[in-house]
Amino acid sequence: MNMKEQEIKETLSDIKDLMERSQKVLYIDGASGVVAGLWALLGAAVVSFWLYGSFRPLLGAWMNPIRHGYDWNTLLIVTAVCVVVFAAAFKTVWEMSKRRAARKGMEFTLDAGARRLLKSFFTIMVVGGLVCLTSLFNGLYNMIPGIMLVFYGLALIVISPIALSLSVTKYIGYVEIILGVVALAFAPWGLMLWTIGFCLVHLVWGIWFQLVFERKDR
Amino acid sequence: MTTIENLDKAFESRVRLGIMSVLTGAGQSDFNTLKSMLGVSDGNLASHIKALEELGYIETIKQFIGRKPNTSYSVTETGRKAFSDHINALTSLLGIK
Repeated sequence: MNMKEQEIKETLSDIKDLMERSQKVLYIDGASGVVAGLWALLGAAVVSFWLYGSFRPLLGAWMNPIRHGYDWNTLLIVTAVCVVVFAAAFKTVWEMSKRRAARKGMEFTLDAGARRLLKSFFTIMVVGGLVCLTSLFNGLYNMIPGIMLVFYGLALIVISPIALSLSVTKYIGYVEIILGVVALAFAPWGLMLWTIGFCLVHLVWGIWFQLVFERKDR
Repeated sequence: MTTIENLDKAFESRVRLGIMSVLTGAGQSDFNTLKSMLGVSDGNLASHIKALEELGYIETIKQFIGRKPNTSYSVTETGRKAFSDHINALTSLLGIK
């Protein structure tokens, strides 16, 4: 009987182990969300200072024209900041999540379906980036924060089936889209809404994840 | 106590329990993923998949990824119920709830 009991216990723990390991989920590290939010804040601050010579646009409506005119320097700097911040934030989230998976003895592999979703995520982000560039060329700086938020929200919704077991990613996507549409409608608030969407939302999510989800994990 | 009768004969094989575990965890999974997760041979896995399919516990999903055809498997509603009944029977045999 004891022997049998031992066997059942092993079977059950094997089942649990297999179920956990096979979950097709990117367990995103909550702390990495906080870091990504800080990257975003840094980017917003640089852009705000370059364009307006002030950090005030991050905090509220800002109607003043930009400092330098629509020249190549501005175009290059804004584009470079966007690319660097996105790449840095993505890399941070990716590496920290990978390390978190290793820490918990989970595999961090992506099957064909997950890789396809990740591809769609990047397609949407690249198209969003191109739309932003066209706005830059036309001097429509005001519209860019809204466009970024909307495309990022869409990309999050697309990737939500594999990101996190809780379906919270999808709702973050909706929040970003709503913020983006508001930013498009009320352009002077753009940079502030961008900072809320890319910095505050990530910070809140990261902290919430650490507090609620990680604790439950233990 | 009739719990011993609640154990599903279909799940006597560890490979079949493994298949059900992976598919329940992953939602859906293809042949090669199952193979590497469970560490079994092609033939062995194929025969167990066939058996579970005939019982109506799992179903195949045929789709294209790019241009490559891809067959994956997922647990049916019947399968889900049978699997959770089996696990409940196992745990109650242990006297834990």
